[in-house]
Amino acid sequence: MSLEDIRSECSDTAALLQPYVDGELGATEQERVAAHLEACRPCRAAVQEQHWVRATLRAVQRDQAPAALRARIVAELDALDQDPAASQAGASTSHAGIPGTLPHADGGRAARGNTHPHPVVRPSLWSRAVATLADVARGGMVMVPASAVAVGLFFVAREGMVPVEPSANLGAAMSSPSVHPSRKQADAPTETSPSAKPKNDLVVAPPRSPMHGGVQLVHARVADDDPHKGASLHYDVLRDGRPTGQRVVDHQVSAGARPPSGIPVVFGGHRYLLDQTAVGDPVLHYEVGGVAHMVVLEGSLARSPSAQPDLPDFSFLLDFADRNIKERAAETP
Amino acid sequence: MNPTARHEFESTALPQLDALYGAALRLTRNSAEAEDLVQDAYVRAYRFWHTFKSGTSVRAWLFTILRNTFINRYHRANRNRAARTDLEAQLPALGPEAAVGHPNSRVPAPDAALAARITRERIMTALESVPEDYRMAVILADLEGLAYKEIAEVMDCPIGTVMSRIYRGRRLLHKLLHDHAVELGLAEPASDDDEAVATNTVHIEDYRQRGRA
Repeated sequence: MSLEDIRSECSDTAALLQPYVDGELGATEQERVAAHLEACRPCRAAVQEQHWVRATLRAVQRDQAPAALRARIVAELDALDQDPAASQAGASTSHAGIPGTLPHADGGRAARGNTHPHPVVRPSLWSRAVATLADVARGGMVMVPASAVAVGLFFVAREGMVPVEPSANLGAAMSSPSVHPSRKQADAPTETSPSAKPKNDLVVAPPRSPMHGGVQLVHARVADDDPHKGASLHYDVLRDGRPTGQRVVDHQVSAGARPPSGIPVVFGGHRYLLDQTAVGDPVLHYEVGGVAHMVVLEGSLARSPSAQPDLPDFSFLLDFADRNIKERAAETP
Repeated sequence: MNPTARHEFESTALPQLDALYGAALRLTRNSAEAEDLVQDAYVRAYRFWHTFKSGTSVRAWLFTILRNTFINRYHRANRNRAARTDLEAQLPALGPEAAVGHPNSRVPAPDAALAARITRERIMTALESVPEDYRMAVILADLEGLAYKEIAEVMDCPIGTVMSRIYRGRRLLHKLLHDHAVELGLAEPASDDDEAVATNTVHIEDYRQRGRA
């Protein structure tokens, strides 16, 4: 290979080196760069240098905000709450520096926090139902299992605000506003027998690291502006009852809308595909009841180097999904 | 604001306090200023909480507010301009137009053990001396783990610019930390090897044109 060849090849790969370092490439491009690096010492040195700084910074111990700062901020929030005029004034004056301040048609967001009848005109009964559901879910006041809420939200989104299948679940959600904050804490593993048929995939053993402190549903979103986006549920990962900063996001769309890719495994009798996001967060794909789930674990301190079922993050997600599937099976007659 | 919104803000936005404070410390280089900056950012965030789009990254949203608050309130004072200019002057020495392809000197391969012997304080000092835009990009990418897309959102610039800022920031950091390691006798001085590298250097313009949008 001549120097000219090397140079041309490097030129072709140059734009991919940085996203390669940061894990922002797809599998094909990632492999292409890796192959180039095998053969090209200068490119390898450049990548090593970037990797080294990245790894060095990631290993650095994080700063902790002083407790007094938190107290000061909470006091400021109290002051704002007690002086609604100031809060209103702030909200209606300059939006400089606040991203995304244009009014938007997110029913759930717009209705956030209105605990009594409010003057906001709702386009329909169902969008009001969705908003209420979303609020209920956000506040942790979840009586029905999260999966039921999600399925309800999903169908509302997909069918233009008309729930077609799980109306019973929606009804249950609407009529059971009791506060059960502990309901979403993960219980002990259930022994429900699996309903799905294993295919010719890698069958994996149950994860050894069961969900530490469980998860808590903190947030539900339905894309009422774009039905194809489906719905998503956000869970905080807890340890000793406190959020760890990690979050599980369960994105749901109609099955078959976007065929997922990944490493196929079978766990608890159900088929999953293991994958990673562009930034290396572990992802689990699975389908149940006509709904395709893409479950992402965000905020891992040490990202898994690859998608393997025995890595803690992936076994955590498998356990999470397994519980949800069984929970849903249990509530379906 | 009503109790539900307050609860939501406290459970969603407030857990990011440590991350925001860390970034503010690196931006202001001063703990008292960092506290003020974070407090201002949180007050703004709370007042505009109704504009936060659920389903989007609360971290990216908060960092955007933090950065804008910093620029509005602190940046105008033109503090530390000397340090910034001094370091910017070092950029050409890092490669032609801070070439994206390769280092222009044969710095020995980075060593994980070396990183372990450089103190946290030294690393943070080095980070704080990197020009602001590069520093912010590196903080968001490497300390906070944000994706390019989120960093582009926070810094209000194209993804190609994000990559270039991260690249330059890391190169500067590497140089600073390597120089420090040489001072301590932990590493060998770099030897210039321009000829070998010249044929393989890819210029920033190529990089930008080929950059992923």
